[in-house]
Amino acid sequence: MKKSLFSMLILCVIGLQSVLAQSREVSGVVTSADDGLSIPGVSVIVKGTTIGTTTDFDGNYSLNVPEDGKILIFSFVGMTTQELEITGSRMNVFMGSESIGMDEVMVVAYGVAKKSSFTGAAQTVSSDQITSAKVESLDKALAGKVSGVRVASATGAPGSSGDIQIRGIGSITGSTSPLYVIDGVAITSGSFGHSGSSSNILSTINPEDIASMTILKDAAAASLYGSRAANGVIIITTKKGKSGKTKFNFKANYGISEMATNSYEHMSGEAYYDYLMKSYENWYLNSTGNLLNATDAQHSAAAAQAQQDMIDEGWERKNGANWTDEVYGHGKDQDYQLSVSGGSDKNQYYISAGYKNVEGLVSNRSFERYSSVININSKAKDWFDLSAKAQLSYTEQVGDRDQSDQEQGIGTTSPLSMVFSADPTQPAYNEDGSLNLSAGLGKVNNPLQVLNSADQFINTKTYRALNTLSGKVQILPELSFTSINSVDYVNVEMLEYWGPSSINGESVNGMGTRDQNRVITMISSNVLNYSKTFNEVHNFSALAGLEIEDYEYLFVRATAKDYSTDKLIELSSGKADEATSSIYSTFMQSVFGSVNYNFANKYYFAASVRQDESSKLGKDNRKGTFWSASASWRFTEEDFVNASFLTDGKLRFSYGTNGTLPSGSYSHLGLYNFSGVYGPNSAIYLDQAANLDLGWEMSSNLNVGVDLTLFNKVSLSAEYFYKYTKDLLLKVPTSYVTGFDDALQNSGEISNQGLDIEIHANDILNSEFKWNADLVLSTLSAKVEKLPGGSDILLGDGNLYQYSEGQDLYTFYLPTWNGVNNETGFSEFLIDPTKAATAANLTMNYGDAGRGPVAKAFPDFSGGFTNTFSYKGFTLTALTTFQYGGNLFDYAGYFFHHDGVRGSFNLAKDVEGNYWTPENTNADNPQPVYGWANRPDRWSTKHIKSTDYIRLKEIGLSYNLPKHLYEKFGVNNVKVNLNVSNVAYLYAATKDMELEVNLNGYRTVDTPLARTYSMGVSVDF
Amino acid sequence: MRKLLYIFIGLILFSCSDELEQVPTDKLPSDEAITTVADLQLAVNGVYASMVSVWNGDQTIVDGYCGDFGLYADAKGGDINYQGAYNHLAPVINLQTDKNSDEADGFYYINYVGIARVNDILTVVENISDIEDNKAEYDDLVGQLHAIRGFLHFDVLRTFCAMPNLVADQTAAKSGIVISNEKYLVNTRFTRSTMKESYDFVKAEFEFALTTIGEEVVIGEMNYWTVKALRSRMHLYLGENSAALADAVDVIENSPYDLLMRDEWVDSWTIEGATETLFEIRTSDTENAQRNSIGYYTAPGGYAEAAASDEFLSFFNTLSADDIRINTLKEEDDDGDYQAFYPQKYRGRSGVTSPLYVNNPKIIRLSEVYYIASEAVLQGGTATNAKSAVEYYNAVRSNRIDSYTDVASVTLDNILDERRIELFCENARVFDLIRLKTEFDHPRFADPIQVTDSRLITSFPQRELDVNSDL
Repeated sequence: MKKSLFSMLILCVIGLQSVLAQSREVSGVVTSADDGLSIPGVSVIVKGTTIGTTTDFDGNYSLNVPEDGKILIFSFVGMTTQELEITGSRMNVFMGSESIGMDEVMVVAYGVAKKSSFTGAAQTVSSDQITSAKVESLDKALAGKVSGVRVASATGAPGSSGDIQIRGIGSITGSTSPLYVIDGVAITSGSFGHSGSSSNILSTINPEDIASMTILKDAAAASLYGSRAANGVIIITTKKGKSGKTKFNFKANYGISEMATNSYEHMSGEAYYDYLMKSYENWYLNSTGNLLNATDAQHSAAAAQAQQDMIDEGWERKNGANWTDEVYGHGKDQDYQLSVSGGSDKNQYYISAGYKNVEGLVSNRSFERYSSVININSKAKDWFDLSAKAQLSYTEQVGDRDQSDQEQGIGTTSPLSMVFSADPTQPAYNEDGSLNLSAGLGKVNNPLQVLNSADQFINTKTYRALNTLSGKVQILPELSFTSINSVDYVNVEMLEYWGPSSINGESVNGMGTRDQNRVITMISSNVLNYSKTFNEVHNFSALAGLEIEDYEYLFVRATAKDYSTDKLIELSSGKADEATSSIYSTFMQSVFGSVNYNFANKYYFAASVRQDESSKLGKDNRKGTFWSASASWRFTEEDFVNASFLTDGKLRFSYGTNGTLPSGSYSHLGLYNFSGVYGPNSAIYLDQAANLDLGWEMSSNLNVGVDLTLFNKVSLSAEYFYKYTKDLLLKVPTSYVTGFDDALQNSGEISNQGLDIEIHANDILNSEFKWNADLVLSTLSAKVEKLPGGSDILLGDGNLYQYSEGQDLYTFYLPTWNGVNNETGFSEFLIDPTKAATAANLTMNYGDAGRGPVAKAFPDFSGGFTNTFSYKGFTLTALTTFQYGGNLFDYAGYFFHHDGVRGSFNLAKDVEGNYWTPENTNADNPQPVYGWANRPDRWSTKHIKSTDYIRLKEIGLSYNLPKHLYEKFGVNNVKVNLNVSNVAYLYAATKDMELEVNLNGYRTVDTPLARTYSMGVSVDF
Repeated sequence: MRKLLYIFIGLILFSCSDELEQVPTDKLPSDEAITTVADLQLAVNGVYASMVSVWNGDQTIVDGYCGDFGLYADAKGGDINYQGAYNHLAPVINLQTDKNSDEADGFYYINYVGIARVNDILTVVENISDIEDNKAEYDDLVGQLHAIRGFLHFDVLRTFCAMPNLVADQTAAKSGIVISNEKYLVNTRFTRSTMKESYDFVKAEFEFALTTIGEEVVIGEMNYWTVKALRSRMHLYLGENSAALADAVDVIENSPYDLLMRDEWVDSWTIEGATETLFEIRTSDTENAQRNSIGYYTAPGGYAEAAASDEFLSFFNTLSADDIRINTLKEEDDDGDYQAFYPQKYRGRSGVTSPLYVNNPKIIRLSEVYYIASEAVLQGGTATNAKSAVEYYNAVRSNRIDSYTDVASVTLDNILDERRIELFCENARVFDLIRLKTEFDHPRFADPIQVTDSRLITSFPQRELDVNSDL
């Protein structure tokens, strides 16, 4: 930028000289085709001469063109250069953003790099792509936009965590989340939820403040981040001010939401009544041993007995409310943003304020965020740049336990549980409009009573301040020193309240819990940069750095029970019950360096090395060294490559290593817990086994890629990656006799490999009607290579997953359900799942069924296809995401396909009319038996569902209003937009279910994703 | 400018090695945690606490006496039935304690965690600094550790193995359980010992404990008399009737415990340290098994999964109105739902916030010791100072029944019935039925259950078979 300004200055001087020649004046204004704003500083040159000028702050230019001048060249960094024939004295020009694949600059580890010279695997996502998703946190916005990146939401509750994985599954029990780096600072991410509620602290970052994100995928790109980069790195750059006129931008967005899928529909009252009666009838038959061979007379007798003993008087066969609709209603989404930016040549600033409010589908589930960014950059001296940033946010999330921990259990008051324990024969409201309080089959009288009352909730307030101060000293023209210093303060305060008369609070007469999670991370990163070109063709750069990271996490919890009143929620209204606090500290110091060399922008070589030393490991294992080496060849620069259609072409290769640390602070120590209680006395006990040998999880990473740009329009990138991880930080199951059920050990090896393909086509039609298309596609194969002692490992809720050598990661391990026997009407399972379904190998008793590996969770391939059409200020964007080859475990469905066993609990709509009767022997579900010890409902292949889908994920329509409508009010641009997210499944292998689940394929019992319709306006002035 | 370069290089050379030694602020390694006899007491408390609940890193396991195991023998023995279908205790009532069941997992885990805690403490006890000044207390605590280790092994034995009287060859390979008597590395693999070796280990632990443990009565802790009473129970299981009788006689004659008077019986369920309680596990408002507790299971407003079965009810209805134990059951419902007769023993200790959660399970009471003595005599056992079987029988009953008239003779069936009412919901029934080889009716099954029915034994958990291929 500095260079171009300088050259423009020269041009100005030259331009002045030309005034003397005989000439005519051409003038006009240059505006951006993207946002309609005028562009200052655009270079305007008469072709074939040195005569030229630059546009002023308002984008105006005026130039004396000599008589023989026919063509003007307009150029500006980041914009497509235009050569236009002079047609008159007034020429207004629209400039568009440069095509992707050209020589854009991207932010990479500890610096920036030209895309053409980058030897690693990385992709940049623009702010528009981030904000188009209209989600509260940036991780969820990446779905379908970057190859090799998979995003899912564990739950649709506002503010809950996303689940993001770059290039497969990095570990079995270690972390699989990438590292997030904002403006050079690694930040704290993750969830600080309470008791199975999730609270995503990434949602403290306002997506509107982000200028771009770069996703680093391979070792060459990420190894400089060493031990934290094994799962990839997401580098976030916030918006900065630009010199020039002060710019204001105001955005407002309003949306309404509903459940995106027809999930969780239940049986009608009449159908449920019949089903229940049948299940009781069979119960009586079973208790007399006649279940399988009852005579008609016995059937009638059992039915009569069921009617008499089991059905409450007055309970009638009739249809009542649709409880799914009552519980999962409509949500709301509001978003307001104001930003101001500007500055002089020396000092620039960007200040923003944002407010977001999401109300969930279920009453009393919400997320609110207040955020601001102050970014100041100053060129304090010729040799000294200074910048300061304060990124502040406050969020408030109201919700309840959401099972995002994937541990067993469906809470009595979870919305889903209440839908199915609500009486489908009863209306939600009485005739007088009051709530019908006898509409429950279980403990809940009416779901709406629980949801509308504020006597049971979790309220999470998060305050975050990310303050960064950085300076850059230009020591020599080719040598600079940059120091980035930051304090990231995150304070998550949680209040869980169960009123004294609430369902959960009743037995303890009210309970209140306050948690404080305070995380302070201080990072100082100091880097020397050297860059020089020798003999015009040897481009050399290097960096060396030192970084220290000091992390402290304070956890405080206080609990009170036995409330004296239901009018006050504060803990002081109860009796003190529990108080605990602890601090988890870690420290890491690192040295790192890299060198980059390229010959004539044709052959590129790079290497990096980093050594981390962490307090998380024992003295002898504390140091880990990670490195990478990479090269690329821009073959289109060779003389012998002469294909006119090929604008640019590059081959890339990289190999390197990364590591992962244990997530706990003190995982290697054998420890006594001092918080125990026995009766009225204190107690201490061993609660962690020692493993002083614990070390790094190590991964090596190969990447081979080709990048092509065709016809200056289409860029194509294809990469193959192979990542091999060994010394896994594995929670290896231990015999209970050791006193522990598992222990963290460096054991086992896994591999991930796949292809990442991206195709970006710009302006395909080459007309005023513009069409851009972006396709990203990734394949994945993730396998277990080695396990301790070669023996299989079972992990997850109910040992759902089996890890076995040579087998896919996240393989479900369940008994095989052989369907419903046409003659008996009961479910059958394979006794030995490796053998055929012969009569001898079938059982009706679940307990006799053997388990086996039955399906894998992750998809073979997934991706997204974005089409953008624009015409005269209108822009239509549609994102379609898809995946194939994956499966989910329908834990939610397990509850409402209970085959009658559970008695008073409703069933899924798809069981209605679809269970075995003598008249309907081909049904999918067995005849019901209440309380049957055979438990045919328990986890089996019946609960495994395909997650293949094609989904219209986002649709956006925007329109830049004509300028003449508002120009006179001093407004530069007005844009209106309509967006719909999670629009519809164009294809779904499994109907009426939310198929976007975590990569491990576990469908939790919480609120599914919402479809949001939103409209907004953006005004620049 | 050059100065900056030097500073930078200096920074690289500078190493913050102190900062790399981070230790938790709330936890300590074993050898630092237990350095005094007072610490040892806390650690012993920690072992008892494992019987209430254990946090396994993901969830709290409460399958011990305060929860499912507290009603285990009653559930299997057909005396309780579920009204609520929440699938917590119900699987045990359905005799579903197969290798894949949560119960098999939980019972195994909670016992061995307690044992492992003992093992870890025993590796550091010798380094305690103030043993000399607190010798008696130290000896008592070490005795308790061995007593607990024996007791927990005994529970694993009777849960996961057939009762000894049904086992033809107690020296058959792997007929017993895993004996855990030292601190193990986390990757250790285990195999089962023979039943004889397993019971011999329990005997040895009790024997050792008796040499050091104190006689003082402390609520929630084991003492000399507890060990004797438990050992007496074990001998009875093994058919060692004279040994069983000798221990029982010692407890009856010499211990400071007394049988409850008739008018004390009802209230004894609402207090800690009733005169008859030899050992109970302490619960409190902060530490208990919550909804998976014996109290919550036996209440219609709780999970209602442990009401009296029809089989028990018909037996109960034969009780004389003069028998104080008529208060064992009461007909109740939860706002019209789950109407049935519910056990009244676990309605909460008086004065607590969450009564249904806070009930100390009684592990062994003096009345049971009387029954053991009576049964041992009937089975041919002899011991010094022993009385007749009927005297022990009458002794308990005269403290339960108003205007009781001593009977002249007693049979094993009488004792079985007496135990059935007295020890209802105290985890005794199915063990008694098997020991006395009495087939029984069960509310969930049409046909009577034979004592050899394999479902009466909890299977070794599948995950343990997976980890220990040679188990």
